[in-house]
Amino acid sequence: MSQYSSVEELEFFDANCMIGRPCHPSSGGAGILLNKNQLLEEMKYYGIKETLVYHAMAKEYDARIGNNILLEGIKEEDSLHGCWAVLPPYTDEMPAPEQLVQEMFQKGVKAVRLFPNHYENPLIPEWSQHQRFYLSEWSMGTLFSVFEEHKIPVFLDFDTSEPYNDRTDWDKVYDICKNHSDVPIVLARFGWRVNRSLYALLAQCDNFYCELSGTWLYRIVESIAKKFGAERILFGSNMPFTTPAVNLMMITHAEISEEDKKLIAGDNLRRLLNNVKI
Amino acid sequence: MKSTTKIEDPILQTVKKGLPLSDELVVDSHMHLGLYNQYYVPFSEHVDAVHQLIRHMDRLGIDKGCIWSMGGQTADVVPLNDLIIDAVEKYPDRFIGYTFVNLNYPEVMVDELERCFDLGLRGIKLIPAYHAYPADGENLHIAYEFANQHSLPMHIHNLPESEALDKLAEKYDKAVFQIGHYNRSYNEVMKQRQNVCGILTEQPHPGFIERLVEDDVIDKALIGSDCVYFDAAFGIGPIAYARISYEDKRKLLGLNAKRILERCGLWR
Repeated sequence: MSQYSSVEELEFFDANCMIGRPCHPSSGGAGILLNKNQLLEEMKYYGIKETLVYHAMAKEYDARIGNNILLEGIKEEDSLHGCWAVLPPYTDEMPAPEQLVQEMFQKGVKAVRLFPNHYENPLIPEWSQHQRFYLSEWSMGTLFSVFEEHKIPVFLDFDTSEPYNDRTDWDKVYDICKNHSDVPIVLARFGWRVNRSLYALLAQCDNFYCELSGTWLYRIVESIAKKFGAERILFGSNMPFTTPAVNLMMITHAEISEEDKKLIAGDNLRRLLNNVKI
Repeated sequence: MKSTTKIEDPILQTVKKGLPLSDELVVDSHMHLGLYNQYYVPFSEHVDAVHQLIRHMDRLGIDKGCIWSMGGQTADVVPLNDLIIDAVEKYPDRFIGYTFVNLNYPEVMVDELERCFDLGLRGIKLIPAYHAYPADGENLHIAYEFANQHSLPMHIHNLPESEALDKLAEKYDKAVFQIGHYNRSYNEVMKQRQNVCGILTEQPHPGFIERLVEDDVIDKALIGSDCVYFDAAFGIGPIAYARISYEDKRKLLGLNAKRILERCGLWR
């Protein structure tokens, strides 16, 4: 039955949040979460219980350095969970895949995030786009195989900062899902006008999940939940670039059951993290 | 990102409980109906679309919506205006219907404006950018004249810059110019002209709503979700959760829109 459900009852777990000072602040100009305390204050205001968080330096400078800054920044805070940025395993920038995973587990990290794109000027993507690395099998297959062995959730972030301009490489997402069917693949913050591709992936790839922080389409939570199951959707805020307000309300006010809302709000992410084989 | 409002705010409390804003006046000044060629719009098959939209409005607590067709920006506006005429006939207390005009067909515009006005539509939707028509083109004046003659609101997706808008607002002073996607460059003309207001259809960036107070345009901004392009929560959410006063939230959610519609003789 469709019910009204409060933010408090649904126990939100934010799947998409960044701390640190980004090179490009939000176009609103006010969205920077420099540290743990600022993030905790925001979570309290909005009623978000837990957050999976990555660090700006891991995306915009160096993955290892940024990942370490992240862990130092969120230590001793149970409601914050680290998400590491990772790179292809053929340079000296990261440990070998299995070693990387063991290091993650030792430090309590159970999810990774890939940033294959970089835009030096997000407002002029035509000339400023750089492919940091390819997601193809020859580039990332070894790493994905290790993630598959441990069922580590992988968040794909194509840097869709302005959702009217989706930057997702949909063919690549499909290939990864099919080549590594035991890896939970979460597409983070994609654009608005892409739900024909989104639904095709949801229909054909059981290990594909969507995080809706960039997609505010009409009743999309209800639509996906009814067509493909509420298990496939994760709440994400994209703080500090956007407020969580819209996505919170799209879930609290969705015309779906309370059980489904709880899954979307946080239990799906909790399940993915609990399923990681250490 | 400091908290500047108390959690006791009844609008925030209601939304956090997941309840509709039944105790507040909520008027959404930017709504659509129908399908769109660029992506799939769920719950919008023509036969049932308007009932589904009303259901969604009820769920969130939206009393009224200013509405025009979804597809008019990419397809022939004439059959799509019929969708809106039908919606207004079915729910006259819930919708203020707008006529969508295509600026590339000046020979059709007046007939279509008159036809739709006779059938109950009481606003005009203009979107020069999507119709690949200049924002200061001559054909716009056909719509401006009609709106002025009948004291109608016009929702205009992209307008000329602030100074040019000021002149238009002075010349067509009985019409209302609704800035379809408000930005701060229009603050001064919004303050100066009673017949200019801004619709809040923007990405929910932190601080966007709070700056309306700082900029002293809180009395001239109206909620506009873009639903069924977006979920109606896209309009209400950022206002409900904003760190502004309860009274200011009430203005943005409905009181400002009521005043505009009263000015046009469209409030009931």
